[in-house]
Amino acid sequence: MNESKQELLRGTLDMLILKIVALDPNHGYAIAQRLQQISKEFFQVHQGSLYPALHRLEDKGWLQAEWKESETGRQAKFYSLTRKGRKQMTAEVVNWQRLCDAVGLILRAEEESR
Amino acid sequence: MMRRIRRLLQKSRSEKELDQELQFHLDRQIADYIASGNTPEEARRRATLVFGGMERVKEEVRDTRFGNFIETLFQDLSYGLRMLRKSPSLSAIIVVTLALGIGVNTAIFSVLNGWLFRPLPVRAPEQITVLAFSQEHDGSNFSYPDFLDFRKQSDAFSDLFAYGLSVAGLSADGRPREFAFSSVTGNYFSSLGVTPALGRFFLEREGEVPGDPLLVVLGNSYWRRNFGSDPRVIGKQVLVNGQPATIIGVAPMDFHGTFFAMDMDGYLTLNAMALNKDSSQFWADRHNRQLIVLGRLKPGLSISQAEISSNVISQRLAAQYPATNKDVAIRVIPERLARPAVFVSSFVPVIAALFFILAGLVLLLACMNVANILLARSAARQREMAIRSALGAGRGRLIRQMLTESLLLSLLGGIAGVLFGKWSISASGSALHSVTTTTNFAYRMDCSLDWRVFSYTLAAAILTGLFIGLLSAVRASRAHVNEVLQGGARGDSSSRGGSRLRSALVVVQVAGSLILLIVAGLFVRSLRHTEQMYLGFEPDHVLNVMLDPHQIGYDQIRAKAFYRELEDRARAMSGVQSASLSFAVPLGIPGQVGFVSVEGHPVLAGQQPPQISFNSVDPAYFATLRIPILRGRTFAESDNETAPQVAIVNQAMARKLWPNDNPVGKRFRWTNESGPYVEVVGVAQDGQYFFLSPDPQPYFYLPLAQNFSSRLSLQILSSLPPESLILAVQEQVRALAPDLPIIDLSTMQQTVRGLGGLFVFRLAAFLAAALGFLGLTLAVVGVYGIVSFGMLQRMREMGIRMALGANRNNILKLALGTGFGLIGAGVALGIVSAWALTRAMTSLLIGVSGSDPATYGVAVVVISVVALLACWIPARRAARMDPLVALRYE
Repeated sequence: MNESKQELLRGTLDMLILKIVALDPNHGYAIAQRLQQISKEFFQVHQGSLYPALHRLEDKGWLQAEWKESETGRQAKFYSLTRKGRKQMTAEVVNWQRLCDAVGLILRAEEESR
Repeated sequence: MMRRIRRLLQKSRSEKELDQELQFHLDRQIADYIASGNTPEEARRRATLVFGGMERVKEEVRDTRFGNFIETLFQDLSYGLRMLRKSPSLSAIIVVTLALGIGVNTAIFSVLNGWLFRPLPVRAPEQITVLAFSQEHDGSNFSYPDFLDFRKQSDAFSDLFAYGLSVAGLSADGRPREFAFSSVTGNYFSSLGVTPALGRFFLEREGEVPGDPLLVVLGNSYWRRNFGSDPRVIGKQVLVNGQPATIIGVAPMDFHGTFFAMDMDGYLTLNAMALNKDSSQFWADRHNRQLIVLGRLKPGLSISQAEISSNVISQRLAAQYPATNKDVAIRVIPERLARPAVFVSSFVPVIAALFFILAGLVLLLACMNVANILLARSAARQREMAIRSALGAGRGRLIRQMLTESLLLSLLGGIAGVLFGKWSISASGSALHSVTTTTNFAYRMDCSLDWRVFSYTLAAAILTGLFIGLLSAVRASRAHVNEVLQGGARGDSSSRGGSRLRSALVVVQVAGSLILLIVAGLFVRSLRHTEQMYLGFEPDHVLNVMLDPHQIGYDQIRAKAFYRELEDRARAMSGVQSASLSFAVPLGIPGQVGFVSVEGHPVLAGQQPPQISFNSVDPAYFATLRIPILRGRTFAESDNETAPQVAIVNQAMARKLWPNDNPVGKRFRWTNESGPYVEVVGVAQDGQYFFLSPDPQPYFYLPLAQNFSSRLSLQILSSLPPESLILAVQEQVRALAPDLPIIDLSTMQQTVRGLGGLFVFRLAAFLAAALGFLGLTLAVVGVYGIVSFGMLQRMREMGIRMALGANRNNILKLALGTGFGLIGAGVALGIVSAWALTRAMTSLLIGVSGSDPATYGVAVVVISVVALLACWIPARRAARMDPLVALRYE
């Protein structure tokens, strides 16, 4: 993963995790896999960022965790979204949309003026 | 929050869970790799590689947790304690060094705390202010009529109250004792908001009418000392200077009166100000200024508002009473800032600032030493740090570890420092006590430790810890993992930064201790000078006996007869060459003050005539104290009550009043305008009178017969040691007046060494010398340690040089050369800083300038020699090394 992708991920990882978990409560490994899958291998999240982020979100009360049997039959820590987390995610998604729109406007404006 | 705390408590469980969670992740990764066609070994290898270090991930997860802070703190603390235990002697040296540095600061702060910072033990002490009365820039106390006007008209104070200081004899059950008291206005205690320990206090206006009965409130310690805490003292009849009075109350334990650094024996109603005197003067004369006035500021009012309002009143009074009150200005000063006395220009802040700086320097030197020890150790610990950082500890975490350790050390040092400080205060306190016991007033130096001292010490300890911690931590954590790990145990791969830091330490240590030495040297030289200074009299072989027959009710005629008889008996004792009587004792008992106006030079209306102190003495005084009369004559027995009034002035007064004339034969007045003129019959040599001062003060003498007072000192000049006369004198006093207490009995030499004389200079010199010695010791140990360590680090280099043909002299020169440069830089820095500091000190020195070249020279030589010696020893050791050993040194 190159530098700029790393940077991009760092700012948005929390939001992406919240979104993935909102789709389907799951354990860390699965979350990482889904992230990779859905982004079509664009994001490869490192464990060194994923687990601190998961614990941080749990600490903030946006995620809750419980130990459950995984698809392989082993006990795994499953994360799911809390109500507070859902609110946070919605807010962040709205913000992100606005940011994208704004950035898009600026970039397009530059194209036209050429 | 609860969850976080629970997690903190169930730490091992959450750790286990984290393990499981991460292990699960890894295992799934491996499983996936196997599924995609890798061999199990291959899959495990790839997964582990991708995962990137289980411990590192764990550490990062832990860091995100809130409870983590406390968790790591405990980890760091227990680790730090383990490090301390591992090298107990090193830890002990560090703690002791810090204890010295912090203890010195604690001691100095607690003295200042008692002097300047601790409020009066009264209700809302921050509201208490002192009113400073000044006319033509001359400060003075208030007269009673002025005080009344201010009290009546002031709207800035919820209350104005006043007191004056006196000494009398208090006889209870027929035994008179010395009694130093405040005469207070009726509202004194109620305004302060103090409640009696026993009985009652005065009522509003009680005792402010001349005919009121005298009432007494005893000071708590006086009551315990002299009445054995007997509660039956309430209502007891006593005699104060022969006047009947009634004890009505006892002050609480923590209240000592409102006069700085004194413990009042008791409090009398205000009419005690006019005891045994013509009372109309005190109650009505606006020139009679004896009261110290305090005010309780109304809540919400500022000092400057109160000052403006007070000056409106003083202008009104000036218009009403121009003869006495013209150009009077009032300043309102918070009580704590008015110590020691409101119109004494306070030297305390200068001394305080100076000794704070000196103590701070000692602490700085102590820090430098400890930082050096820690640096040396951190070099040894570089491998440990590198390994920890390789295992995933972040740089911040390493710095925190170091900080925790240094804070642990400095807090231990702080605790030991408080003990050391307490000890040094009680040691110097008893020294102080021994000189003050001969004086009339019970001086009270309250240096006890309170929360202010503790918070100051805590702050000093924490700052110290942060300072030395950061100094060593930043260095240690900067080490590059690979370099250190590959560099083997030498740990010298990045020593350049370290050696630069060590050089800076040497420079600062030399400079700091040089400053301390110079200041100490200046104080010592100032003391030397004052000790050898000509005092204007000869203190040798003179004994002073202070008495006051008023205390047992003698009237003036009886008192005069008593003194005449006592003087005759003293002269008849064997070995006695001369005996005399005087009101004041130079450097011991201050004289009276006169408002002097010269005949033919009337004082302009509304102007205050110059205030000049004087002494009332009998004809033998000048011979007993051997004060030369330079012009005219001395007093004679014929200068008695009926003869024309005469005076002897000193040279300074002659210069001041008759600059170009012979003063003998001139006349001046020293009381109010209607008073009689006195004729100057002689000029006496200038001398020291109340406080030691380098400039001669104007002063004059009146014949005792023409200005009698019952409280007098008898001086006895003898060919024998004066102490040998004490018993005989006591016997003579007892034979003449069995009940009369001897107020004070001391040799003139004791007086000269006492509070008014050399005491302050001795104390300052002693303290400065102690700090200077401490600083020098710290600097020597520090420089030695730093240079030795530097040598050790360069051992291999030395070995290589020797192997390439350098001889011992070359090595010695090389080693010393570095030292020379650093010491030179330190000396230069020290001289410049000391120069700036000692210029502010000039007012504290007598007979030596703040930039005295001899003091600077000696201090520079001492510090250079000692520091060079500290360099030379390790340098010589390096030069004597066997090159083979040096080369192999790791």
